[in-house]
Amino acid sequence: MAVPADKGVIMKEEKILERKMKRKEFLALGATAGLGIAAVSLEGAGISGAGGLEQVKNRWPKNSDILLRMQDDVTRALAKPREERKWVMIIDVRKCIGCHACTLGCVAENILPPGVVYRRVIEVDLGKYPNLKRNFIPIPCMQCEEPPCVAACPVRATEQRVDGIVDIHYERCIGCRACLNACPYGVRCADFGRFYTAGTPQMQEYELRPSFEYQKAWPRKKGKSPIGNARKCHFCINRIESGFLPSCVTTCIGKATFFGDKSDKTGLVFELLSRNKVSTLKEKLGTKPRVYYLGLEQVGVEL
Amino acid sequence: MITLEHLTNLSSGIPWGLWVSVYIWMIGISLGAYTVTMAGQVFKFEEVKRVAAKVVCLSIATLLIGLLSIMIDLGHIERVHFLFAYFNPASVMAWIVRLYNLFLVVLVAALFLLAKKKRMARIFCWLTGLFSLALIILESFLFAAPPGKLWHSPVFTLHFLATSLLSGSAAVLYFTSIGGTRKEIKKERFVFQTTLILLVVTLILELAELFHFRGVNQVNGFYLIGGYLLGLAFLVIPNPLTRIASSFVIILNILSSKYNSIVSSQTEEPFLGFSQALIDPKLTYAYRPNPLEWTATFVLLLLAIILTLLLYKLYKLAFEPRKKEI
Repeated sequence: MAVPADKGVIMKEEKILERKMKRKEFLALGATAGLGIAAVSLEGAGISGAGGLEQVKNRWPKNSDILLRMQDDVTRALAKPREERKWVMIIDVRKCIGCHACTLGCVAENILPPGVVYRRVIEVDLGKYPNLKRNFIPIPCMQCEEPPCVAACPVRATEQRVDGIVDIHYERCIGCRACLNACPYGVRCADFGRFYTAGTPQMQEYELRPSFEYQKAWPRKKGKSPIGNARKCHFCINRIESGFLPSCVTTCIGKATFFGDKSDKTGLVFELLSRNKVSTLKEKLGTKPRVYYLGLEQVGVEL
Repeated sequence: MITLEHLTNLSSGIPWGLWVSVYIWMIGISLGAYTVTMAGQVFKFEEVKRVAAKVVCLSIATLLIGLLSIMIDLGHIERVHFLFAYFNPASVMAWIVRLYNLFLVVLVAALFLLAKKKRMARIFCWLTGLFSLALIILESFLFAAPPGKLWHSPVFTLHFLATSLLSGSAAVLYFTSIGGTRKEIKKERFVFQTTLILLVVTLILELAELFHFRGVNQVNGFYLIGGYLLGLAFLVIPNPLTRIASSFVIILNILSSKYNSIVSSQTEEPFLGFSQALIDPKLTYAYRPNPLEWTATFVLLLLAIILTLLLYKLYKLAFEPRKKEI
């Protein structure tokens, strides 16, 4: 239906005024609540105004343990269908003290043999004495959205799950190591069946204990998987599916590692991703990692 | 597995070592020699026709031994049939495994055609020659495709193609030179000219990698260039013995070239400080093949020679009496 020209202009002006009013009201509300940018992000996240934030704040006061909050986030995420979960990890390099507790926690959890490490903590030394700076950067599998390793595997032994985790079918892997070369982050390892206590008078039984990766028992026997396979971090799928946080998250002394479902708008990881400037490693390659870093720009080198 | 670990030295940060280099070297000889032979057949060069059966036998042997060298490098050799049971169309390796089998069928067919008709149909030579050429390029993608590696240099595929064709051409040169006289050598120029052109192109590409793209280890690169120059010096002398020496030098130098281009890229750490990342053992990015790896390589090389001779002997046994009957 045709609208007269002058009436159309009036309608337009009314709409603009209405929008301006709404924005003013919103800003006033935001200022009253004193929430600044966080309120905007949470409003965008679907938490309605100050009430939603209050709800989260009440449940998780400022000094509450982030591990408990993340645990709660994981429990909530598990109630959703798998395809709706988007697991991500955030690592705050400003908090990492280079204690390697996460590396060892991971080794203990997954009974990793010598030469197989899922989570390396690299030490980057910058500058010259006396202006020397040392940074620690934990590097787990990036669980890329566009994983080059998946494309490289000739037998489809490595695949991306609907929740974003890149896993390895141990019983299908032929050990060609094409995925090791395809990974630009160098986070995949080959398991050559080594033992820490090999060559000692007695082989220790703890080394033969099965690992429970991918929710299945994998005893260490010669010629049997995972010996001879490619191996990598899987965000402790077995733990997550049982409602626990990954081992590296719980063992982090500096509480520098955060984990959760990115699609949960009330979760800690969503909040961190909304509030902070995050970066990923080797962004230019277009692999879209699901491991984000906080404070990486402070390291001062392009990683 | 313990033995394999020691053999391949893969407790270091280098997933692919000497055996993978041997694999691409052997496959390069197989594909390169076949391509050059098919080109000779298409353009009707007598010297190539004379040695075609021998070259096809060599192609079959080197293809099989190349595949054997990659098989022993697998973590789970007993699962090798999975390569056929499961197919990932995005994987270059998945494609080349299937295409190598097809190439083996082509080689056997070529051998039968040579035996029956003494000459192959031109269209067969064209198609299969181009197929083997395409296979060399596809093989190079196995290395050139992963992002963030030094293999990503713009000349990698060209270098890969040139070295593979050169090794094949040098193998054909060996067969044409053996038992030949000076006069024959001066007359038969196709294989010589092909080898010479490919050698010059390879030298240029090697220098480009060395000085411009830095895709190869520079110290090794200088030795490589020395090797190619030695091959060139032997090649230009019109003598059967020097031609044979030249083909040997070139073929062995190409093994070093393949090794250098494969291993050099992997010696680059993915991140600054990566070698300080592991507690026990430290991740090393240095790689030197151990004696066992070398021994296995010599055994594979010996097997390739024996298999070529055996195949040619069988070929002669199977088809020579029929010729007499005719």
